[in-house]
Amino acid sequence: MSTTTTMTLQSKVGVFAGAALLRFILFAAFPSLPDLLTGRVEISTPVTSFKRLQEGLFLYNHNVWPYDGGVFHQAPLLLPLFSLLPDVKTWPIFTAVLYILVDLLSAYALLVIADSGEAGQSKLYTSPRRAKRSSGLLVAAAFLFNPYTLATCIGRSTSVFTNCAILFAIAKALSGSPFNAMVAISFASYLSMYPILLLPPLVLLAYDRQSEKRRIGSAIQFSIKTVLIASVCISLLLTMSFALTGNSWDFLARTYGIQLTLSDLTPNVGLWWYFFIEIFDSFRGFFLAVFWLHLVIYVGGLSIRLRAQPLAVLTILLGIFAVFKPYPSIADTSLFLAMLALYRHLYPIMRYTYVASATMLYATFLGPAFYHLWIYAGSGNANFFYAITLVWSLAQSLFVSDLTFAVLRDEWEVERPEMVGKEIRQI
Amino acid sequence: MAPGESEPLQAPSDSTPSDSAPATAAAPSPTLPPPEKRSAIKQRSYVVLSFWLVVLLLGVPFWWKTTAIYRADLPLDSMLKWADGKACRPVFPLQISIQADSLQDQEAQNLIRLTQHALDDLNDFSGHHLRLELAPRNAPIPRDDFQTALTIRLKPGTSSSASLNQESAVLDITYPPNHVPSLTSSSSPLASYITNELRATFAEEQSIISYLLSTSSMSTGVRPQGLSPEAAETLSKRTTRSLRYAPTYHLTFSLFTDRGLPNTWDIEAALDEYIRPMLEVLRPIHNFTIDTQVQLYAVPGVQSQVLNKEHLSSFINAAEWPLSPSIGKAPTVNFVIYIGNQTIGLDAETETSQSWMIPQWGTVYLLSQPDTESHVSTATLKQPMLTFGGHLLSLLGTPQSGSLPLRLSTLGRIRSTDLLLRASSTLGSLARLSLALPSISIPRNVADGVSKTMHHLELACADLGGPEGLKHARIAEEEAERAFFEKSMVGQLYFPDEHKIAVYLPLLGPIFVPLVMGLINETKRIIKELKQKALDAKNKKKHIHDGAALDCRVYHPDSFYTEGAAPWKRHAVVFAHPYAPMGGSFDDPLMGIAAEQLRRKGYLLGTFNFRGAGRSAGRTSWTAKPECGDYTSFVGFMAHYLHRLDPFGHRMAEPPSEKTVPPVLMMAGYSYGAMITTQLPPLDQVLEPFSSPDCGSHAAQIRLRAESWAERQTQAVQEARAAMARGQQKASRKTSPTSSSEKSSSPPVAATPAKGKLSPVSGFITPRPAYLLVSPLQGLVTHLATMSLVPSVFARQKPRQEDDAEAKLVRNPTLAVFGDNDIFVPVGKLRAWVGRLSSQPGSQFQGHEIGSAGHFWAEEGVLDAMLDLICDFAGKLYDGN
Repeated sequence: MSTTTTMTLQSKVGVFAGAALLRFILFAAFPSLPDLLTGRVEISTPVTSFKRLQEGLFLYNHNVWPYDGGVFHQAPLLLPLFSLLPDVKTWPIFTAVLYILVDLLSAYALLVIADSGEAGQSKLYTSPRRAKRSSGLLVAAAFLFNPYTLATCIGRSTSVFTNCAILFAIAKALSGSPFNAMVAISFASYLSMYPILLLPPLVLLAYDRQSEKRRIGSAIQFSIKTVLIASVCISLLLTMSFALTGNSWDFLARTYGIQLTLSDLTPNVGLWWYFFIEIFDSFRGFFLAVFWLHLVIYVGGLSIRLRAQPLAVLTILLGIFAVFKPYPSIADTSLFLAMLALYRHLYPIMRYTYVASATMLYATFLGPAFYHLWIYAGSGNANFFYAITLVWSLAQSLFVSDLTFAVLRDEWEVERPEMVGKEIRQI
Repeated sequence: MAPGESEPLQAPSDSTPSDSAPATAAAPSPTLPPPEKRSAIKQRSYVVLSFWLVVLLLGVPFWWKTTAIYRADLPLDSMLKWADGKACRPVFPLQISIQADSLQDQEAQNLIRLTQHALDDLNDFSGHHLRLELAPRNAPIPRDDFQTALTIRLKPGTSSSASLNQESAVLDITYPPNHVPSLTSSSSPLASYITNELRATFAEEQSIISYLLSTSSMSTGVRPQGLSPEAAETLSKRTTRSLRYAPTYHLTFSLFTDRGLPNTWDIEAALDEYIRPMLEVLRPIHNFTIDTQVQLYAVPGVQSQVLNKEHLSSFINAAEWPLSPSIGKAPTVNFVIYIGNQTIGLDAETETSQSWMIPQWGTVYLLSQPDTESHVSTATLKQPMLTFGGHLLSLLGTPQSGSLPLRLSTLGRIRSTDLLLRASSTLGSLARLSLALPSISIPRNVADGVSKTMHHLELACADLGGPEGLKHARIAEEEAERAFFEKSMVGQLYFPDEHKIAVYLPLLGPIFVPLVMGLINETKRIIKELKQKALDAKNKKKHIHDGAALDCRVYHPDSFYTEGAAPWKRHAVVFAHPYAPMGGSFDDPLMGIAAEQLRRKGYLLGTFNFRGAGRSAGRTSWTAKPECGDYTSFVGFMAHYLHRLDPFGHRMAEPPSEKTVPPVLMMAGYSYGAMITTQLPPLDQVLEPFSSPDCGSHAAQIRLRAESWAERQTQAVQEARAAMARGQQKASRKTSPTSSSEKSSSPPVAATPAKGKLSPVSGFITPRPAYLLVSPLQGLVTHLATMSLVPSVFARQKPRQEDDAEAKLVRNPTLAVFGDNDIFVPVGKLRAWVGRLSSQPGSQFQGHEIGSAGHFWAEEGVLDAMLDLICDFAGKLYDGN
């Protein structure tokens, strides 16, 4: 018994140390790699770019309002955090250590999530296939050694903080501490805004997994309490930011406002930028609302339909956000893939895993090439890059819809045991 | 206690009997999936609802907010009024003061009166009105202002002569002393002389203003008669030549040469000397900025030595000469001196051989100079500068005749008129535009601009001749232009409605197709459900019900298992329980006691739970109609069960013959159950739907189930009896190994359907009905329980049904037992009811009131009294006939 514990402990340490070491090597052996990756549009978006953060940091350290200049659009509380670190030009290693630690923390949260077994057996639903679930270590390793995660870490995109906060929120909700989950999701929402949409399924998850000691029976009472915690936490963070940016609320317009109005049209892997370059000006406001509502609309429906499996709702929503949010990057994809790894027991009933993975690889290789053709070589135009981002989004939405299908089929087979293994047709 | 058998009357809960029921009634077909669960349907409704809530609560307001065209309210009527000239009558009262220091006061007054008369008589243009007044004596010569347009200085002299002062707006008139009118005379040569002079002085201004008014739409009623076509043509030429009004002009003085020389000029000095003084005078009307340039090696557009009229238009080398079109917002006036020896071929049109004016652009002056001269001196520049000055005045639209001060004051008035007209016509265009294009957006600042324009127009109109008038007209014109050329308004012009469809359809279509489809499917389902409900309500009469599973029990009489008990004569009783929401179910103790009494009497007993009671499905209804249906279902079940049940094996031995007396089927009820019993249709109507029901209908299932259960029970009872006969233990009384799963998995397959209907049971004997009502409900409480206080649309139909129901009580043996102390029903009501029913001819209805008994029969001795009555009643029926 004890040997297996030490074995797993050893292998855990091994995986984490290996991931850390790999990142150290990448940081140390290729000093130009971080800056190269930081400049890639696939990794750095206007709201997560490390380069823009440096700009804001410079202004902040020189007592200028950091949003002057219209380059920096990130949450103000990142500034004091990074100004604590030594200058990144002279001591890049400290920044690297911070990012590596955040990645390891995310992996740890994933480990907790996977080991809870929620993916296969929730309070209201037990999957007949749960025996085949993947071990936590495997899930953590898949996240840590995922090239997308690696690139995000080396590119020092600030979305790693958001991802870490989201994963911790889920992990805490699973371990029966709704308060910590709400604090974590508040941090995520504060940093990137969109995670606030994960609140409903997260509250359901926390409700299902309450510890017996401090159980609140009424779902309404529980959700009021948790939403209250989250809103107090977010207001606290916003008030701190208010004080930090010279007692003005203008930072709201420069951070969340940018995401809401998409005023920075720098290309990214998402679907918004090209559309809003082309749309007639008089319809811009309307379609901004449509695109945002498109993100919002899934939350309620999925939470109701998959009420028995809130973790699946969270996973599917993360996938949807990675495709349809205003400034997506491969960091969001890496988070979704990490969550997808939890559902290994459903892989046999997923139908398009091969097509989706092949498409994803295709887009991964052709994306940078087309971007190069457009921007540097000048032998292609914006349509080249937009087309490949469409393919990329297609691959992800294939994964999302396939996972949704698999989750639903799994539920359905519990109801109709005679249909297990039979071919079915989706109408 | 008798053996208890529990049997759910199971029927599928789906609302579509046509496709799902056969699957359960016959062998389940593998191709059809089981019906959706209720919870799944509900969940789907919520999902559709959640999507539509987002669309309706967030999407629609956003759509409205972001695509609504903002149309500020414009005062269209008054705008059009301005444009039509109805809002303002342009009037120019001109003050002319007369200084007649040499005359006596009275003489002067008289002179002025006469002159004014003469002027008024001659005046043909009412808007342009000259008013004379006597200046105070020894007043200084007035400065140029708009208050007094002209001052006339009268001086005695030898002959009549008049001369305009070049320095200020003063007309000097000398007169011979004898021309002064006497105090009494009514005409005077001096007066008519002054009149003529004044008319001559203001003739040009008058004609220009009347021309302006006539070309604008404001001309109503002010069309001057005196304007000849030729004069109008000259005036129109002049107006097109002059620049549009602007508060500021840029003057650009350029020296061009096709060689390298001359390369310097004394422009500063020349400007100071010749141009600046004039600009100073013009300052109240315009501001000017000046810049100068020298361009060497500038080749003109035309090279020929003598330029004729055609050449002039292409002389300016617009492609190469750096003549900036305008600096900032203000228009530029160009003055070009070209050094060269070209001359202009003289003809009638051009004024000099050296220069020409380009309308709305400026002037070109050809200056010839020796080739070697490298400097242009002030003296050389004098002539060009004077020419430029004159041209500038005409470019600005100054009248040509009269002294400079007079011309300038006239210019002010002309400009005011012009601006007023322009602003008014812009307002009119804006009003017409907003009327013609209902989809154009009108931002708030346009409305602001319009109201500002109107305000300033009113002010300008009030003081048209004065300096304030010019100022306000200027602001009004500026605001009107700004409002008319508002950028966002113009942008909307190019976005017609067709484009909107092109934008909405491809982008919103993919989102809305699933949303709308989901909504349609949900609505369809709800409509279907409602229809089904309505159908069920209609089928009420046929007693076919919605398949809610009912929980029921059948108690066999003792004689099945024990020798010596009262023999079973195929009689049966069905007992209905009190109101479920108040705790009623087939376990009700009082009902149990009464029913047991009947069973002991040799009746087979059947009890059941109404919907919503005990383990039965559904909810207690408001109308009691579904409960009535439950009762009929169970009666149907019992009738067929009884028919098929054959515990003693008599059936085989002696098939039922015509002579056999039909057994009794007593329908009993306590409290609410009694009320339902009262409402039951007559027995033949109750059993009619079961005689030949559609395959797969609920009635068919009930019948099949009753029959199969009767078979099984027959077997079980016979076995038990056989075992008993073999002297074995009696424990098998508690047979009936009935678990619900077994039941549902063994669907009855008997009675092969013929043409989709079950054939009628051969030899089926309709039992004799009898009714037993314990503590029946009457009056208000019935209405409460059935909600029939509400005026119903079926009110017309109701009396017949109720009559039927009551008639059955009269025609068949009926016993009603009630206490006189019932808390639910006033005993008076019951007495009246009993009286009404029992008094009918041939009535078999009997009512018994038991003294001091309450609704629950808990009082001392009343229960026994009631049971005695029941036993008596049942016993009579048992033995009878």
